[in-house]
Amino acid sequence: MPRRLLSKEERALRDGLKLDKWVKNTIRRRAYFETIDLILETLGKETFGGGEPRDAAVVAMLAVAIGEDESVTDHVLRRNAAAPDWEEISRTCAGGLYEQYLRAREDGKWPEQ
Amino acid sequence: MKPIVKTEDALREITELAETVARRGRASGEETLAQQNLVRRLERRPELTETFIAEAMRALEDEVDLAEPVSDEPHQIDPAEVDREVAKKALARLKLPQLRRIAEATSLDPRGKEEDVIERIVRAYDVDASEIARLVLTNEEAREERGVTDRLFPIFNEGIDLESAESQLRMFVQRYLRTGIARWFVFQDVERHDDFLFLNGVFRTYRVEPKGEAEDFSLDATESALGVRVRVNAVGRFLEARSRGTTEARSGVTAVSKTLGLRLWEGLPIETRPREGNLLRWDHRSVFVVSFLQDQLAREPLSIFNLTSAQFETGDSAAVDENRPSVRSVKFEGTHLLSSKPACELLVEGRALVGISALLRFAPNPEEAFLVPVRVTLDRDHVTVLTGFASNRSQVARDVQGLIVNRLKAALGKPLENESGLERLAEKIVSRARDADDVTKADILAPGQSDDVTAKG
Repeated sequence: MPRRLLSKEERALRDGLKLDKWVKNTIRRRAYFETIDLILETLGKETFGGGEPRDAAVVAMLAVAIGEDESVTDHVLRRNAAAPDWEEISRTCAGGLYEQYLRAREDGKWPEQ
Repeated sequence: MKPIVKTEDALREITELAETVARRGRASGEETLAQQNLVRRLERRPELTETFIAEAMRALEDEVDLAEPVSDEPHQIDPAEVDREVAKKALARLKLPQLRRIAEATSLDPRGKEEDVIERIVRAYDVDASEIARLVLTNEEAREERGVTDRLFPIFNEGIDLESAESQLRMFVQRYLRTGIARWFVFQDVERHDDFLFLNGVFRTYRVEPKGEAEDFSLDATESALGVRVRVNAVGRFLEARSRGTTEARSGVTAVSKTLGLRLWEGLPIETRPREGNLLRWDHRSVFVVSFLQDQLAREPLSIFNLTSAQFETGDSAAVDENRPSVRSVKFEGTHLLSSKPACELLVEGRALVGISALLRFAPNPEEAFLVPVRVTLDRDHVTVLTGFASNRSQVARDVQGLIVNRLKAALGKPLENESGLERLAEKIVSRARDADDVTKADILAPGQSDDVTAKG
Protein backbone atom coordinates (compact mmCIF):
# COMPACT_ATOMS: atom_id res chain seq x y z
CA MET A 1 0.00 0.00 0.00
CA PRO A 2 1.68 3.25 -1.07
CA ARG A 3 2.17 5.92 1.58
CA ARG A 4 -0.38 8.74 1.84
CA LEU A 5 1.48 11.98 2.10
CA LEU A 6 -1.19 14.66 2.06
CA SER A 7 -2.76 15.98 5.24
CA LYS A 8 -6.51 16.46 5.60
CA GLU A 9 -6.17 20.17 4.77
CA GLU A 10 -4.01 19.44 1.73
CA ARG A 11 -6.56 16.93 0.46
CA ALA A 12 -9.29 19.56 0.84
CA LEU A 13 -7.15 22.06 -1.10
CA ARG A 14 -6.45 19.44 -3.78
CA ASP A 15 -10.16 18.69 -4.17
CA GLY A 16 -11.20 22.36 -4.08
CA LEU A 17 -8.80 23.40 -6.86
CA LYS A 18 -8.95 20.08 -8.71
CA LEU A 19 -5.18 19.81 -8.37
CA ASP A 20 -5.34 16.06 -8.96
CA LYS A 21 -6.31 16.90 -12.56
CA TRP A 22 -3.03 18.84 -12.85
CA VAL A 23 -1.11 16.07 -11.09
CA LYS A 24 -2.44 13.30 -13.32
CA ASN A 25 -1.73 15.11 -16.61
CA THR A 26 0.27 12.56 -18.59
CA ILE A 27 2.34 15.15 -20.50
CA ARG A 28 4.12 16.38 -17.40
CA ARG A 29 3.99 13.12 -15.46
CA ARG A 30 7.08 11.64 -17.09
CA ALA A 31 9.16 14.81 -16.65
CA TYR A 32 8.25 15.05 -12.99
CA PHE A 33 8.88 11.37 -12.30
CA GLU A 34 12.37 11.88 -13.73
CA THR A 35 12.78 14.89 -11.45
CA ILE A 36 11.77 12.75 -8.47
CA ASP A 37 14.36 10.15 -9.52
CA LEU A 38 16.99 12.91 -9.46
CA ILE A 39 15.83 14.18 -6.06
CA LEU A 40 15.90 10.67 -4.57
CA GLU A 41 19.35 10.04 -6.03
CA THR A 42 20.76 13.30 -4.66
CA LEU A 43 19.15 13.09 -1.23
CA GLY A 44 20.15 9.42 -0.99
CA LYS A 45 23.85 10.32 -1.10
CA GLU A 46 26.15 9.79 1.87
CA THR A 47 26.02 13.54 2.52
CA PHE A 48 22.45 13.03 3.69
CA GLY A 49 22.93 9.77 5.55
CA GLY A 50 22.84 7.38 2.61
CA GLY A 51 19.37 5.96 3.25
CA GLU A 52 15.97 6.57 1.69
CA PRO A 53 15.30 10.28 2.24
CA ARG A 54 12.37 11.49 4.34
CA ASP A 55 9.16 12.08 2.40
CA ALA A 56 9.04 15.66 3.69
CA ALA A 57 12.47 16.42 2.14
CA VAL A 58 11.48 14.93 -1.23
CA VAL A 59 8.17 16.79 -1.26
CA ALA A 60 9.90 20.09 -0.37
CA MET A 61 12.40 19.75 -3.22
CA LEU A 62 9.67 18.76 -5.64
CA ALA A 63 7.69 21.80 -4.48
CA VAL A 64 10.64 23.98 -5.62
CA ALA A 65 10.11 22.67 -9.17
CA ILE A 66 6.34 23.10 -9.01
CA GLY A 67 6.75 26.63 -7.63
CA GLU A 68 8.52 27.49 -10.91
CA ASP A 69 6.03 25.68 -13.16
CA GLU A 70 3.62 28.23 -14.63
CA SER A 71 1.18 25.55 -15.74
CA VAL A 72 0.19 25.30 -12.05
CA THR A 73 -0.46 29.04 -11.94
CA ASP A 74 -2.55 28.78 -15.09
CA HIS A 75 -4.50 25.81 -13.70
CA VAL A 76 -5.34 27.63 -10.44
CA LEU A 77 -6.13 31.02 -12.02
CA ARG A 78 -8.60 29.31 -14.36
CA ARG A 79 -10.59 28.36 -11.27
CA ASN A 80 -10.86 31.93 -9.99
CA ALA A 81 -9.63 30.97 -6.53
CA ALA A 82 -9.75 33.86 -4.09
CA ALA A 83 -6.27 34.63 -2.68
CA PRO A 84 -4.59 31.33 -3.56
CA ASP A 85 -1.93 30.16 -1.10
CA TRP A 86 0.82 29.38 -3.62
CA GLU A 87 3.09 27.81 -1.03
CA GLU A 88 0.41 25.30 0.03
CA ILE A 89 -0.59 24.71 -3.58
CA SER A 90 3.02 23.85 -4.54
CA ARG A 91 3.36 21.57 -1.50
CA THR A 92 0.03 19.84 -2.24
CA CYS A 93 0.87 19.25 -5.92
CA ALA A 94 4.28 17.93 -4.86
CA GLY A 95 2.73 15.56 -2.31
CA GLY A 96 0.19 14.37 -4.87
CA LEU A 97 2.86 13.78 -7.50
CA TYR A 98 5.09 11.91 -5.09
CA GLU A 99 2.13 9.71 -4.05
CA GLN A 100 1.58 8.94 -7.77
CA TYR A 101 5.27 8.17 -8.20
CA LEU A 102 5.32 5.76 -5.24
CA ARG A 103 2.21 4.03 -6.55
CA ALA A 104 3.70 3.72 -10.05
CA ARG A 105 6.88 2.25 -8.58
CA GLU A 106 4.90 -0.25 -6.55
CA ASP A 107 2.80 -1.24 -9.56
CA GLY A 108 5.96 -1.70 -11.66
CA LYS A 109 4.93 1.16 -13.99
CA TRP A 110 7.97 3.28 -13.20
CA PRO A 111 10.65 3.33 -14.46
CA GLU A 112 8.99 2.74 -17.80
CA GLN A 113 10.18 -0.42 -19.56
CA MET B 1 23.87 6.58 15.05
CA LYS B 2 23.21 9.42 12.60
CA PRO B 3 26.16 10.63 10.49
CA ILE B 4 27.42 14.15 11.15
CA VAL B 5 27.39 16.45 8.16
CA LYS B 6 28.60 20.03 7.86
CA THR B 7 25.58 22.29 7.40
CA GLU B 8 27.29 24.28 4.63
CA ASP B 9 27.98 21.07 2.63
CA ALA B 10 24.37 19.89 2.95
CA LEU B 11 23.05 23.35 2.12
CA ARG B 12 25.30 23.62 -0.95
CA GLU B 13 24.06 20.28 -2.34
CA ILE B 14 20.44 21.13 -1.61
CA THR B 15 20.77 24.55 -3.24
CA GLU B 16 22.34 23.02 -6.37
CA LEU B 17 19.54 20.45 -6.49
CA ALA B 18 16.95 23.22 -6.05
CA GLU B 19 18.41 25.15 -9.00
CA THR B 20 18.28 22.03 -11.20
CA VAL B 21 14.71 21.05 -10.29
CA ALA B 22 13.54 24.68 -10.59
CA ARG B 23 14.87 24.74 -14.16
CA ARG B 24 13.09 21.48 -14.87
CA GLY B 25 9.85 22.84 -13.39
CA ARG B 26 10.03 25.98 -15.54
CA ALA B 27 10.75 23.88 -18.67
CA SER B 28 7.88 21.48 -17.93
CA GLY B 29 5.48 24.42 -17.47
CA GLU B 30 6.52 26.09 -20.70
CA GLU B 31 6.17 22.81 -22.62
CA THR B 32 2.60 22.35 -21.37
CA LEU B 33 1.56 25.97 -21.85
CA ALA B 34 2.92 26.01 -25.41
CA GLN B 35 -0.05 23.83 -26.35
CA GLN B 36 -2.63 26.36 -25.07
CA ASN B 37 -4.05 29.40 -26.82
CA LEU B 38 -4.78 31.33 -23.65
CA VAL B 39 -2.35 31.30 -20.75
CA ARG B 40 -2.95 32.92 -17.36
CA ARG B 41 0.14 34.15 -15.55
CA LEU B 42 0.87 36.07 -12.35
CA GLU B 43 2.39 39.50 -12.72
CA ARG B 44 4.63 38.82 -9.74
CA ARG B 45 5.31 35.24 -8.81
CA PRO B 46 5.93 34.50 -5.12
CA GLU B 47 9.50 33.45 -4.30
CA LEU B 48 9.12 30.09 -2.54
CA THR B 49 12.43 28.36 -3.22
CA GLU B 50 14.11 29.50 0.02
CA THR B 51 11.08 28.35 2.05
CA PHE B 52 11.18 24.87 0.53
CA ILE B 53 14.96 24.60 0.85
CA ALA B 54 14.62 25.38 4.59
CA GLU B 55 11.82 22.79 4.82
CA ALA B 56 13.99 20.14 3.15
CA MET B 57 16.91 20.95 5.46
CA ARG B 58 14.67 20.52 8.52
CA ALA B 59 13.45 17.15 7.21
CA LEU B 60 17.02 16.06 6.55
CA GLU B 61 17.97 16.80 10.15
CA ASP B 62 16.16 13.55 10.98
CA GLU B 63 18.64 11.62 8.85
CA VAL B 64 21.87 13.38 9.76
CA ASP B 65 23.21 15.57 12.54
CA LEU B 66 24.01 18.91 10.96
CA ALA B 67 27.12 20.50 12.43
CA GLU B 68 26.54 24.25 12.35
CA PRO B 69 29.47 26.64 12.09
CA VAL B 70 29.88 28.70 15.28
CA SER B 71 29.23 32.41 14.93
CA ASP B 72 31.86 35.14 15.43
CA GLU B 73 31.68 34.65 19.18
CA PRO B 74 33.68 31.54 20.13
CA HIS B 75 31.50 28.52 21.02
CA GLN B 76 28.35 30.55 20.38
CA ILE B 77 25.40 28.52 19.07
CA ASP B 78 23.14 30.32 16.64
CA PRO B 79 20.66 32.23 18.89
CA ALA B 80 17.74 31.47 16.55
CA GLU B 81 18.50 27.77 16.84
CA VAL B 82 18.70 28.05 20.63
CA ASP B 83 15.28 29.76 20.70
CA ARG B 84 13.79 27.02 18.52
CA GLU B 85 15.28 24.20 20.60
CA VAL B 86 14.20 25.84 23.87
CA ALA B 87 10.65 26.05 22.53
CA LYS B 88 10.83 22.36 21.51
CA LYS B 89 12.13 21.36 24.92
CA ALA B 90 9.25 23.18 26.61
CA LEU B 91 6.76 21.24 24.47
CA ALA B 92 8.58 17.97 25.19
CA ARG B 93 7.16 18.20 28.72
CA LEU B 94 3.79 17.25 27.25
CA LYS B 95 2.88 13.69 26.43
CA LEU B 96 2.37 12.55 22.84
CA PRO B 97 -1.47 12.40 23.02
CA GLN B 98 -1.50 16.00 24.28
CA LEU B 99 0.88 17.08 21.51
CA ARG B 100 -1.33 15.37 18.92
CA ARG B 101 -4.36 17.18 20.35
CA ILE B 102 -2.59 20.55 20.01
CA ALA B 103 -1.53 19.68 16.46
CA GLU B 104 -5.11 18.81 15.52
CA ALA B 105 -6.43 22.00 17.11
CA THR B 106 -3.87 23.99 15.09
CA SER B 107 -4.83 22.19 11.85
CA LEU B 108 -1.45 20.45 11.75
CA ASP B 109 -0.70 16.84 10.92
CA PRO B 110 -0.87 15.04 14.31
CA ARG B 111 0.81 11.87 13.03
CA GLY B 112 4.37 10.72 13.51
CA LYS B 113 6.92 10.62 16.29
CA GLU B 114 6.92 13.01 19.23
CA GLU B 115 9.74 15.09 17.79
CA ASP B 116 8.00 15.45 14.42
CA VAL B 117 4.81 16.70 16.05
CA ILE B 118 6.76 19.10 18.28
CA GLU B 119 8.66 20.45 15.28
CA ARG B 120 5.41 21.16 13.43
CA ILE B 121 3.89 22.96 16.41
CA VAL B 122 6.98 25.12 17.00
CA ARG B 123 7.04 26.07 13.32
CA ALA B 124 3.30 26.82 13.26
CA TYR B 125 3.70 29.15 16.25
CA ASP B 126 6.78 30.76 14.67
CA VAL B 127 8.92 29.93 17.75
CA ASP B 128 6.85 32.42 19.80
CA ALA B 129 8.06 31.78 23.38
CA SER B 130 5.00 33.32 24.99
CA GLU B 131 2.57 31.28 22.87
CA ILE B 132 4.54 28.08 23.47
CA ALA B 133 4.54 28.71 27.24
CA ARG B 134 0.76 29.23 27.14
CA LEU B 135 0.29 26.00 25.16
CA VAL B 136 2.38 23.98 27.61
CA LEU B 137 0.68 25.39 30.69
CA THR B 138 -2.79 24.92 29.20
CA ASN B 139 -2.18 21.32 28.24
CA GLU B 140 0.13 19.89 30.87
CA GLU B 141 -1.08 17.48 33.54
CA ALA B 142 -1.38 18.65 37.11
CA ARG B 143 1.94 18.74 38.95
CA GLU B 144 2.86 19.70 42.47
CA GLU B 145 5.16 22.60 41.51
CA ARG B 146 2.31 24.43 39.77
CA GLY B 147 -0.79 23.50 41.67
CA VAL B 148 -2.51 22.97 44.98
CA THR B 149 -2.15 19.62 46.74
CA ASP B 150 -4.20 18.41 49.68
CA ARG B 151 -3.92 15.06 51.41
CA LEU B 152 -6.85 13.76 53.38
CA PHE B 153 -5.85 11.54 56.30
CA PRO B 154 -8.85 9.80 57.89
CA ILE B 155 -9.10 9.82 61.67
CA PHE B 156 -11.34 7.84 64.03
CA ASN B 157 -12.44 10.93 65.98
CA GLU B 158 -15.80 12.28 64.77
CA GLY B 159 -15.53 15.81 66.12
CA ILE B 160 -12.78 17.94 67.61
CA ASP B 161 -13.11 20.64 70.24
CA LEU B 162 -11.35 23.49 68.44
CA GLU B 163 -10.99 25.58 71.61
CA SER B 164 -8.99 22.90 73.30
CA ALA B 165 -7.13 21.92 70.10
CA GLU B 166 -6.04 25.51 69.56
CA SER B 167 -4.62 25.90 73.05
CA GLN B 168 -2.83 22.54 72.89
CA LEU B 169 -1.24 23.36 69.53
CA ARG B 170 -0.28 26.87 70.68
CA MET B 171 1.73 25.33 73.51
CA PHE B 172 4.12 23.92 70.91
CA VAL B 173 4.51 26.99 68.68
CA GLN B 174 8.21 27.66 68.00
CA ARG B 175 9.02 24.13 69.15
CA TYR B 176 9.83 21.11 67.10
CA LEU B 177 8.97 17.43 67.11
CA ARG B 178 11.09 14.70 65.55
CA THR B 179 8.90 12.71 63.14
CA GLY B 180 11.44 10.28 61.64
CA ILE B 181 15.14 9.74 61.03
CA ALA B 182 16.65 13.21 60.50
CA ARG B 183 13.12 14.56 60.08
CA TRP B 184 11.48 17.26 62.23
CA PHE B 185 8.26 19.20 62.20
CA VAL B 186 8.53 22.78 63.48
CA PHE B 187 5.28 24.30 64.83
CA GLN B 188 5.08 27.86 63.50
CA ASP B 189 1.64 29.30 64.21
CA VAL B 190 -2.04 28.49 64.63
CA GLU B 191 -4.79 30.22 62.62
CA ARG B 192 -8.26 29.89 64.13
CA HIS B 193 -11.42 30.06 62.00
CA ASP B 194 -15.07 29.44 62.98
CA ASP B 195 -15.26 25.72 62.32
CA PHE B 196 -11.66 24.77 61.61
CA LEU B 197 -8.12 25.79 62.39
CA PHE B 198 -4.84 25.70 60.51
CA LEU B 199 -1.54 24.67 61.97
CA ASN B 200 1.26 26.11 59.88
CA GLY B 201 4.65 24.49 60.17
CA VAL B 202 7.90 23.61 58.49
CA PHE B 203 9.22 20.14 57.75
CA ARG B 204 12.99 19.97 58.07
CA THR B 205 15.12 17.14 56.84
CA TYR B 206 18.67 16.44 55.69
CA ARG B 207 19.99 14.66 52.67
CA VAL B 208 23.14 12.89 53.87
CA GLU B 209 26.03 11.80 51.69
CA PRO B 210 29.08 9.93 53.03
CA LYS B 211 32.24 11.29 51.41
CA GLY B 212 35.95 10.81 51.49
CA GLU B 213 38.89 8.73 50.43
CA ALA B 214 41.98 7.24 52.08
CA GLU B 215 41.73 8.16 55.78
CA ASP B 216 39.67 11.32 55.35
CA PHE B 217 35.97 10.52 55.66
CA SER B 218 33.02 12.79 56.41
CA LEU B 219 29.25 13.11 56.15
CA ASP B 220 27.86 15.81 53.91
CA ALA B 221 24.42 16.90 55.18
CA THR B 222 22.23 19.22 53.11
CA GLU B 223 19.17 20.68 54.81
CA SER B 224 15.81 21.22 53.18
CA ALA B 225 12.86 23.05 54.71
CA LEU B 226 9.36 22.59 53.28
CA GLY B 227 6.15 24.32 54.30
CA VAL B 228 3.12 22.34 55.52
CA ARG B 229 -0.34 23.48 56.60
CA VAL B 230 -2.61 21.07 58.44
CA ARG B 231 -6.33 21.77 58.67
CA VAL B 232 -8.17 20.49 61.73
CA ASN B 233 -11.96 20.47 61.36
CA ALA B 234 -14.51 20.79 64.17
CA VAL B 235 -16.76 18.35 62.31
CA GLY B 236 -15.65 15.54 60.06
CA ARG B 237 -13.21 12.69 60.13
CA PHE B 238 -10.16 13.98 58.26
CA LEU B 239 -6.97 15.88 58.88
CA GLU B 240 -6.11 17.76 55.70
CA ALA B 241 -2.49 18.52 54.89
CA ARG B 242 -1.56 21.02 52.21
CA SER B 243 2.02 20.61 51.01
CA ARG B 244 3.87 19.58 47.88
CA GLY B 245 5.07 16.15 48.96
CA THR B 246 3.75 13.23 50.96
CA THR B 247 6.65 13.13 53.44
CA GLU B 248 6.12 16.64 54.76
CA ALA B 249 2.33 16.15 54.79
CA ARG B 250 2.72 12.99 56.85
CA SER B 251 5.12 14.78 59.20
CA GLY B 252 2.62 17.59 59.83
CA VAL B 253 -0.25 15.15 60.33
CA THR B 254 1.85 13.08 62.75
CA ALA B 255 2.69 16.22 64.74
CA VAL B 256 -0.98 17.26 64.97
CA SER B 257 -2.32 13.80 65.76
CA LYS B 258 0.28 13.30 68.52
CA THR B 259 -0.37 16.71 70.04
CA LEU B 260 -4.17 16.32 70.01
CA GLY B 261 -4.22 12.59 70.76
CA LEU B 262 -6.04 11.73 67.50
CA ARG B 263 -6.07 8.21 66.10
CA LEU B 264 -5.29 7.88 62.40
CA TRP B 265 -6.84 5.16 60.26
CA GLU B 266 -4.52 2.47 58.93
CA GLY B 267 -6.41 2.39 55.62
CA LEU B 268 -9.16 4.32 53.85
CA PRO B 269 -12.82 4.48 54.90
CA ILE B 270 -14.33 3.24 51.64
CA GLU B 271 -17.88 2.03 52.14
CA THR B 272 -19.05 2.05 48.53
CA ARG B 273 -19.90 -1.64 48.60
CA PRO B 274 -22.32 -2.69 45.89
CA ARG B 275 -25.13 -5.14 46.71
CA GLU B 276 -25.36 -6.95 43.38
CA GLY B 277 -24.36 -7.10 39.74
CA ASN B 278 -21.03 -6.62 37.93
CA LEU B 279 -19.70 -4.29 40.60
CA LEU B 280 -19.51 -7.14 43.12
CA ARG B 281 -16.49 -8.50 41.26
CA TRP B 282 -14.65 -5.17 41.19
CA ASP B 283 -12.06 -4.06 43.73
CA HIS B 284 -13.75 -1.74 46.26
CA ARG B 285 -11.27 1.06 45.40
CA SER B 286 -12.22 0.84 41.71
CA VAL B 287 -15.90 1.08 42.67
CA PHE B 288 -15.13 4.18 44.71
CA VAL B 289 -13.00 5.90 42.03
CA VAL B 290 -15.41 5.17 39.16
CA SER B 291 -18.35 6.25 41.29
CA PHE B 292 -16.47 9.44 42.24
CA LEU B 293 -15.71 10.15 38.60
CA GLN B 294 -19.30 9.64 37.58
CA ASP B 295 -21.16 11.26 40.45
CA GLN B 296 -18.75 13.92 41.69
CA LEU B 297 -16.27 14.95 38.99
CA ALA B 298 -18.94 14.85 36.27
CA ARG B 299 -21.36 17.00 38.28
CA GLU B 300 -21.94 20.72 37.77
CA PRO B 301 -20.06 23.00 37.77
CA LEU B 302 -17.51 20.33 36.87
CA SER B 303 -17.48 17.93 33.93
CA ILE B 304 -14.88 15.50 32.62
CA PHE B 305 -13.28 16.87 29.48
CA ASN B 306 -10.66 14.16 29.14
CA LEU B 307 -9.47 11.32 31.39
CA THR B 308 -5.75 11.27 30.65
CA SER B 309 -4.29 8.64 32.96
CA ALA B 310 -5.46 5.74 35.08
CA GLN B 311 -3.27 3.95 37.58
CA PHE B 312 -4.02 0.39 38.64
CA GLU B 313 -2.55 -1.82 41.33
CA THR B 314 -1.96 -5.25 39.88
CA GLY B 315 -2.06 -6.98 43.24
CA ASP B 316 1.23 -8.81 42.70
CA SER B 317 3.25 -8.48 45.88
CA ALA B 318 7.02 -8.98 45.72
CA ALA B 319 7.34 -9.24 49.49
CA VAL B 320 7.86 -13.01 49.57
CA ASP B 321 10.78 -13.34 47.21
CA GLU B 322 12.78 -10.27 46.27
CA ASN B 323 14.37 -12.09 43.34
CA ARG B 324 11.05 -12.91 41.73
CA PRO B 325 10.15 -10.41 39.01
CA SER B 326 6.87 -8.68 39.77
CA VAL B 327 4.69 -5.78 38.72
CA ARG B 328 2.84 -3.97 41.47
CA SER B 329 1.19 -1.22 39.51
CA VAL B 330 0.47 -0.22 35.94
CA LYS B 331 -0.36 3.23 34.65
CA PHE B 332 -2.17 3.93 31.39
CA GLU B 333 -1.72 7.27 29.71
CA GLY B 334 -3.67 8.58 26.76
CA THR B 335 -7.06 10.13 26.18
CA HIS B 336 -10.55 9.17 27.40
CA LEU B 337 -9.02 6.20 29.19
CA LEU B 338 -12.18 4.71 30.62
CA SER B 339 -13.38 4.16 27.07
CA SER B 340 -10.29 2.07 26.32
CA LYS B 341 -10.42 -1.71 26.29
CA PRO B 342 -7.25 -2.32 28.40
CA ALA B 343 -8.48 -0.10 31.25
CA CYS B 344 -11.93 -1.77 31.15
CA GLU B 345 -10.30 -5.21 31.21
CA LEU B 346 -8.33 -4.39 34.36
CA LEU B 347 -11.46 -3.07 36.09
CA VAL B 348 -13.41 -6.19 35.19
CA GLU B 349 -10.53 -8.45 36.29
CA GLY B 350 -10.85 -6.90 39.75
CA ARG B 351 -7.65 -4.84 39.67
CA ALA B 352 -7.73 -1.75 41.87
CA LEU B 353 -8.05 1.60 40.11
CA VAL B 354 -6.14 3.78 42.58
CA GLY B 355 -5.43 6.96 40.65
CA ILE B 356 -6.70 9.11 37.83
CA SER B 357 -5.59 12.27 36.07
CA ALA B 358 -8.13 14.26 34.16
CA LEU B 359 -8.72 17.53 32.45
CA LEU B 360 -11.92 18.92 34.00
CA ARG B 361 -14.14 21.62 32.61
CA PHE B 362 -15.07 24.06 35.34
CA ALA B 363 -17.94 26.43 34.58
CA PRO B 364 -18.50 28.54 37.71
CA ASN B 365 -21.10 30.68 35.89
CA PRO B 366 -22.77 30.73 32.46
CA GLU B 367 -20.22 33.22 31.11
CA GLU B 368 -17.01 31.49 32.14
CA ALA B 369 -15.47 28.06 31.68
CA PHE B 370 -11.94 26.82 32.40
CA LEU B 371 -10.04 23.64 31.65
CA VAL B 372 -8.29 22.48 34.81
CA PRO B 373 -5.95 19.48 35.21
CA VAL B 374 -6.54 17.38 38.32
CA ARG B 375 -5.15 14.21 39.84
CA VAL B 376 -6.82 12.09 42.51
CA THR B 377 -4.87 9.22 44.07
CA LEU B 378 -5.83 6.67 46.70
CA ASP B 379 -2.79 5.86 48.85
CA ARG B 380 -2.59 3.32 51.65
CA ASP B 381 -3.77 5.69 54.40
CA HIS B 382 -4.74 8.93 52.66
CA VAL B 383 -6.23 10.38 49.50
CA THR B 384 -4.34 12.99 47.48
CA VAL B 385 -6.04 15.67 45.43
CA LEU B 386 -3.93 17.87 43.17
CA THR B 387 -5.32 20.65 41.01
CA GLY B 388 -2.94 22.30 38.54
CA PHE B 389 -2.94 26.01 37.75
CA ALA B 390 -2.64 25.37 33.97
CA SER B 391 -2.84 28.78 32.29
CA ASN B 392 -5.69 29.98 34.51
CA ARG B 393 -5.40 32.40 37.40
CA SER B 394 -4.47 30.47 40.55
CA GLN B 395 -7.82 31.19 42.23
CA VAL B 396 -9.54 28.98 39.64
CA ALA B 397 -7.40 26.01 40.74
CA ARG B 398 -8.10 26.81 44.40
CA ASP B 399 -11.87 26.93 43.75
CA VAL B 400 -11.79 23.57 41.92
CA GLN B 401 -9.56 22.07 44.61
CA GLY B 402 -12.02 23.18 47.32
CA LEU B 403 -14.94 21.64 45.42
CA ILE B 404 -13.19 18.31 44.88
CA VAL B 405 -11.88 18.05 48.45
CA ASN B 406 -15.35 18.77 49.86
CA ARG B 407 -16.97 16.22 47.55
CA LEU B 408 -14.32 13.68 48.45
CA LYS B 409 -14.87 14.19 52.17
CA ALA B 410 -18.59 13.77 51.60
CA ALA B 411 -18.14 10.57 49.57
CA LEU B 412 -15.55 8.77 51.71
CA GLY B 413 -17.08 6.59 54.38
CA LYS B 414 -20.53 6.78 52.73
CA PRO B 415 -22.41 4.03 50.89
CA LEU B 416 -22.96 4.26 47.11
CA GLU B 417 -25.31 7.11 46.26
CA ASN B 418 -26.23 6.10 42.75
CA GLU B 419 -25.77 2.33 42.59
CA SER B 420 -28.17 1.77 39.69
CA GLY B 421 -26.41 4.43 37.57
CA LEU B 422 -23.03 2.97 38.43
CA GLU B 423 -24.22 -0.54 37.55
CA ARG B 424 -25.31 0.70 34.11
CA LEU B 425 -21.87 2.23 33.63
CA ALA B 426 -20.31 -1.05 34.81
CA GLU B 427 -22.30 -2.92 32.15
CA LYS B 428 -20.79 -0.69 29.45
CA ILE B 429 -17.33 -1.27 30.91
CA VAL B 430 -17.82 -5.06 30.99
CA SER B 431 -19.08 -4.99 27.43
CA ARG B 432 -16.07 -2.88 26.33
CA ALA B 433 -13.69 -5.33 28.05
CA ARG B 434 -15.21 -8.22 26.06
CA ASP B 435 -15.58 -6.30 22.81
CA ALA B 436 -13.24 -7.50 20.05
CA ASP B 437 -13.70 -4.37 17.90
CA ASP B 438 -11.45 -1.32 18.05
CA VAL B 439 -12.89 1.66 19.91
CA THR B 440 -13.36 4.51 17.45
CA LYS B 441 -15.19 6.99 19.67
CA ALA B 442 -14.77 7.71 23.38
CA ASP B 443 -18.13 6.91 24.98
CA ILE B 444 -17.49 6.17 28.65
CA LEU B 445 -17.22 9.24 30.88
CA ALA B 446 -16.22 11.30 27.88
CA PRO B 447 -17.62 14.67 26.81
CA GLY B 448 -20.64 14.60 24.52
CA GLN B 449 -21.91 11.20 25.68
CA SER B 450 -25.61 11.03 26.34
CA ASP B 451 -25.59 8.47 29.13
CA ASP B 452 -28.23 8.91 31.74
CA VAL B 453 -25.86 7.43 34.29
CA THR B 454 -24.31 10.75 35.19
CA ALA B 455 -25.70 12.12 38.41
CA LYS B 456 -27.23 15.54 38.17
CA GLY B 457 -26.26 18.23 40.68
